[in-house]
Amino acid sequence: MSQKVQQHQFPHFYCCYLLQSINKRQSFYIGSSPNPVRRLRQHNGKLTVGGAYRTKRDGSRPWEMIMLVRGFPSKIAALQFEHAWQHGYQTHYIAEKDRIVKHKAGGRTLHHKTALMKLLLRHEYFQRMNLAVEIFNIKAWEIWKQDKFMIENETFKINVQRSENALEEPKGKTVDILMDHSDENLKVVESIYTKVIEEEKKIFELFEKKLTTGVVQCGICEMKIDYTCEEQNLKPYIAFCNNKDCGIINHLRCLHRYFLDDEQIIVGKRNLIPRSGKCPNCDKICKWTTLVKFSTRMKIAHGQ
Amino acid sequence: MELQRAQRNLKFLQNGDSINVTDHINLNGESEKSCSLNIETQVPEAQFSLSSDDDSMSKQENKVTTQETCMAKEVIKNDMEMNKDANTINSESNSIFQPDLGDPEILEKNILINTQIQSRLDDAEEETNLKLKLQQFKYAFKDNDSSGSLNNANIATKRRPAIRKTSAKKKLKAKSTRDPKIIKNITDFNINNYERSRTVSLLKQLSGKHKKVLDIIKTQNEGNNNKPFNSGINKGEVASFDTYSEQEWKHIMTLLLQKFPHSEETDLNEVQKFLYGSDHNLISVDNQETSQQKLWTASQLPPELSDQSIQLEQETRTQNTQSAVNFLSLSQVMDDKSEIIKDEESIITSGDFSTSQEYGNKLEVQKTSENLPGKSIELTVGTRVNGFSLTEHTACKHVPAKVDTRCGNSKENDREDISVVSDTTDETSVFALDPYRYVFIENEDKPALTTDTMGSSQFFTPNTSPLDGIIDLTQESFKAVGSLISPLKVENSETTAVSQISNQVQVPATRNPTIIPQKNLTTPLKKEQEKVDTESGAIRVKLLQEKVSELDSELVLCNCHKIEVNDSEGEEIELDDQFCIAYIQPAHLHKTVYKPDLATGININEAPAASSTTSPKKFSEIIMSQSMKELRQKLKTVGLKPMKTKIEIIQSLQTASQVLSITTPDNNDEHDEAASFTKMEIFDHLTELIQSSPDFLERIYTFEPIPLNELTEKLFSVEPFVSQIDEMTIREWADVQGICLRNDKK
Repeated sequence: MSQKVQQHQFPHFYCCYLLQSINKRQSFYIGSSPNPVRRLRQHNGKLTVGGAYRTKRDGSRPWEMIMLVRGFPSKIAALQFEHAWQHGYQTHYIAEKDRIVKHKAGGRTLHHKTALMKLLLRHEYFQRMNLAVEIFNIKAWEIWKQDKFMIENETFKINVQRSENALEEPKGKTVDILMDHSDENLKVVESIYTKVIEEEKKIFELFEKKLTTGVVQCGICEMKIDYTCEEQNLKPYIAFCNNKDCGIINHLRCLHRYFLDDEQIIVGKRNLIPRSGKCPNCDKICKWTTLVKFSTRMKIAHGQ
Repeated sequence: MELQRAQRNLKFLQNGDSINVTDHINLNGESEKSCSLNIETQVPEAQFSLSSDDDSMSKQENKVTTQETCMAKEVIKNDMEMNKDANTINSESNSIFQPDLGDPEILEKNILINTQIQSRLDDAEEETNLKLKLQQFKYAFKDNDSSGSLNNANIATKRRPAIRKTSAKKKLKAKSTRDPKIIKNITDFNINNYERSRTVSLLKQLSGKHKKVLDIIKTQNEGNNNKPFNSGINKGEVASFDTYSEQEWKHIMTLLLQKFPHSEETDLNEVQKFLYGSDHNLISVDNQETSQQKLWTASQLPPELSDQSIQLEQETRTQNTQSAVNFLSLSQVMDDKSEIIKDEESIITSGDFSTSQEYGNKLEVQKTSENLPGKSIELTVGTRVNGFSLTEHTACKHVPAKVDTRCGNSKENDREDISVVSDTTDETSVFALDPYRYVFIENEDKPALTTDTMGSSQFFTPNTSPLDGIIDLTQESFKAVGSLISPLKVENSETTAVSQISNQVQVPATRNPTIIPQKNLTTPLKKEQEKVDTESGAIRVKLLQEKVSELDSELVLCNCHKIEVNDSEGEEIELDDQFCIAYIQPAHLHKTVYKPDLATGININEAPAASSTTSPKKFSEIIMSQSMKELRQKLKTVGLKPMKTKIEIIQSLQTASQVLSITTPDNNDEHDEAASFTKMEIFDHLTELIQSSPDFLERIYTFEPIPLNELTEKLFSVEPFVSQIDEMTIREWADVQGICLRNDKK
């Protein structure tokens, strides 16, 4: 139903975020949103449309978004991550032996929150999604680096980055300081959000241009692809090489098989989704999630 | 239907006889005692409501409301007919019945089968009576309503005939007092069924001798089949019954006929068979006296009594040892048939069935014998107590003696030379209640044959494969069996020393139940006749091969075979390869006769060390050999849906292994694969299934969330086996493969 009526699309920016109350620093909130900026304003009451019950009470406002994880391939996946993050004591994404939070009431520190996030990202289900972590607060960054529960290791690396103008801890408790801090935080989040959106938009427009030339050929099966015409079977999922100089276009289907063939040689068995693969043309490594991201967006935008 | 009802009826009659007796008195002698009247007044309310008989239903309406004349007449008509039928029989049976009427207490006593049953029945009766009373209100209410709405004027007229016909109705009531019993029978049936299965399982669990219990049941079952037609109902026949005396049976029969006038003789035969098993065989064998010790009575008798029967049995012995076996507790006799069927299946699947008949009627006691110079030795093989036949007894005596003479020259060898394997016959296995079952073989003055104690002896269940006989892994835990077997082997050396001192070796039949199941008494059983086997009494002997060559060629029919077994735990490993198995058949020939043993039979002596055979039979055997717990655990670890019964689990596992073996043809070793396929293989299989459908695959690699039920349906359409995979396994697989699942589309 949803598939037919509403074609699946890789969301532009779906993320799970961690809020920390600026007023009560020991209060945290985990949520998810396709637009963290808007959502943060809702949490802080600046945007009255949209619910924010949990973050409204007890004078915990304003809230600071200290980190987020983005790149979920679907809303469902993001919600799964959010729920798992909120329920780290019982989620099946964390093996029982690895659990750092054993009880519902436990794990209320930032150390636990970050460790839980790391544990979740370590699960192969989320690993496959090539999620990226953004950290907006220096203290949170330090805690992340500290890795108190020693979850990260050589074999497991998380794509994490601290935003350029990450905030220090608020200096005082006065209303002005709190509000300023909140505003600053919003700016930081917004910068990240817009940056990602803009970058991807640029790439997308680049790909669009390639298709406007009319008929193109799949680099693998050499069959015709024409997103300008009305015919549906000429508009399958297509994959664009990330390399600007390469510019090859393939069927996502063909590339999928191509990647899986390569992966099968390495891994020894044939999975359903390849993690990444070398472009058949330029040998540049392409992440499968990135390919799917633009492929589905292109299909939504022009493919039907 | 008729038969079923009759059976139900009979079952109750079995137990709730006291009331029946009084009923009958009312019917026949018309001696209306106060007590019988009481019954009439109390019971009739409930009497008709539950009976499936149409007549009785209409009767009920009549009686309860006492309003509809025509109906009442009809019913009475019917009843009169029934009475006619009954009376014809009654007239015949009355003569027999008369003495009982004179002393109803004794009759009661006689019919009273089991206090446990009785008490249980009473409880059930109370319960059902209460229910029926309540139900009667319902009917009465209905009837009043209907009649009231139809015609009020009729009521007065309708009531009259009811009053007029009181005398007729009394009879009806008297008869119909049986009806509540039918109901009770249903509950009783359920209770019994429950108890039966429970006792069986309990017995199995406690004793660890699942096989034995099953054998008991099975042999009885066979006996039933062997004698399908009983001449039991012939009036002229003076038959003696165990469970019921003839009069009692006649009484039951009359009641039956009254109740079901159209029932044919064959039906009654069936009923009788149901009650007595193939009891009449025994009678026809003209063991009138032994019949007293049959079934329940026999089981209740002190062991000494059965000694008398030995003499009698001796006559029949030559014909068939099994035919004389009648010492079954009622509960044993009536035991669950379904269990047998199930077990037979398992036996068949476990292979080696062909050999089972071989063991069936032979006395198999494997004894590792040692030379003990200058001492006479008694080898206990059978049982006196429960009427193990003397013929066999003596036969057993003969054998070792002869063997002794042959082997006498090997005295100096202190190691185990000979093992006498005397196979307890079917009937011995039947003596579940007798803890003292031993067979004594006297060695006279010949010291040559030293029998080992229980340590080395093993009794094998007839009609089963040897492997099954040793370890009944079909259902019970491994532990219980381990206690049966391993001690035997371990004790081997120690007990030898004991036997040397004591001279007399007692070999307990392993098939003796370690517990006497109280519960069994309450469960109805079926009795049966065992098959005649010409080879009965043959003794299975395990000998050193050198000794075999020394034996008289007359006695040696065939020089059997080497034992090729890898006994991992036994201490006889070194010697095992020198042993061979031989059958001695002393009963008829009075000399030892060696028969060829089947190669598969050799394994009997050995704990079923996991064979490396890759045949499917072996495979299923291996699977069957696992306990329920193990199977469940396996099911869980491989990620299949949990199943309730063992068969389901096995089927599930087998399908899984088949499915997986198809997809991974490179794995040749079926057995290994089947036993060791993992969750990962299921995962891989699922992955392959998805890869076969490009559309679905595309949805997956574009990270589209897919409803779980859609995914499973898709998988199921490709491979029905998927339905047996646990949902959690599929979820896990989806996680691994990066499939984004959602609960549903809404």
